[in-house]
Amino acid sequence: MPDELLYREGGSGEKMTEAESLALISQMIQSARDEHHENGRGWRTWGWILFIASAGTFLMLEYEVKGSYFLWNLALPVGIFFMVLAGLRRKKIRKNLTYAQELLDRIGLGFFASLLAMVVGVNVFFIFSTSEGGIDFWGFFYILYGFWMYIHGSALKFRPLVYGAILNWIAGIAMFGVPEMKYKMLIGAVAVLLGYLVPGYLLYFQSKRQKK
Amino acid sequence: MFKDLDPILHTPLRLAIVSLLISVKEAEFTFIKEKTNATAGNLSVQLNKLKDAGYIEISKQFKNNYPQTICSITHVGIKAFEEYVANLQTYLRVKK
Repeated sequence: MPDELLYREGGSGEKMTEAESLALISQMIQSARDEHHENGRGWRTWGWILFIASAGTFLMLEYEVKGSYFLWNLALPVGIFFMVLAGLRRKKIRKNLTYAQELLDRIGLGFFASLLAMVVGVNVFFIFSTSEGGIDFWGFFYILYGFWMYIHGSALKFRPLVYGAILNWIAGIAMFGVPEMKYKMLIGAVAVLLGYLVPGYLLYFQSKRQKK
Repeated sequence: MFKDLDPILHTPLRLAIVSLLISVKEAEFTFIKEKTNATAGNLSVQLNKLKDAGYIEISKQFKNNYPQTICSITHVGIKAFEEYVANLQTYLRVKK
């Protein structure tokens, strides 16, 4: 595309042909889309953290070092610390925000909040559980639902769904600490009532009002 | 020939600005300047014309003690842009 199409000084009164207009639109849209700030920092940060946690745990198990899994407990807070730092830095240098980047930021936040809830939940289980069997799975579902609700709530800018997501993450963690099935179900019922049904009905009434 | 085309959009720089803003959620003044190769003075004038027409929103804030101008397209701007493109296509007899 010729550069002179892009910009003509004093462009408020000049005429363009139809083809020039379309070419300019296409050029600008492409130019904005090509502009992204992905430099792989997140992948590199997490890559090293997870690699050190995996390889370190292997070595600790191999040489029977006590407290073999502490690296995994360390991995998440360290990773989140670096990601928050990187996020703040990126915000400082960012000159534009594409729709794709905005959505990726939201998904990233929801994903890491879910991951954190799972790690906390698993630790809660091992601290409080008296059962001899394997880890209970119920909490994982609620945490995963929290992720889904958070993405919807933040994309729609609908706060009740975001609060519902937080409630489901907390409920998921709590389920790991409650041994009795009936109480797990009670926590689940409260999380669904306040986290799903209340925002669902609020959305329903909102759409009804908009139709009127 | 172009009498039906929106005069606010049918100029190179303003059309370039709106085409950029339609693709992003928001953009800094320096980003638009860089992409359009416009001078700061002319860009400022054209941005204000678009703002007065209700096509874009301009907010000013401070980042690291430096003033920063953030621009984003409004619903009115999106509608006007879509209409402009549809009219262009009609002129060019391009089928959607």
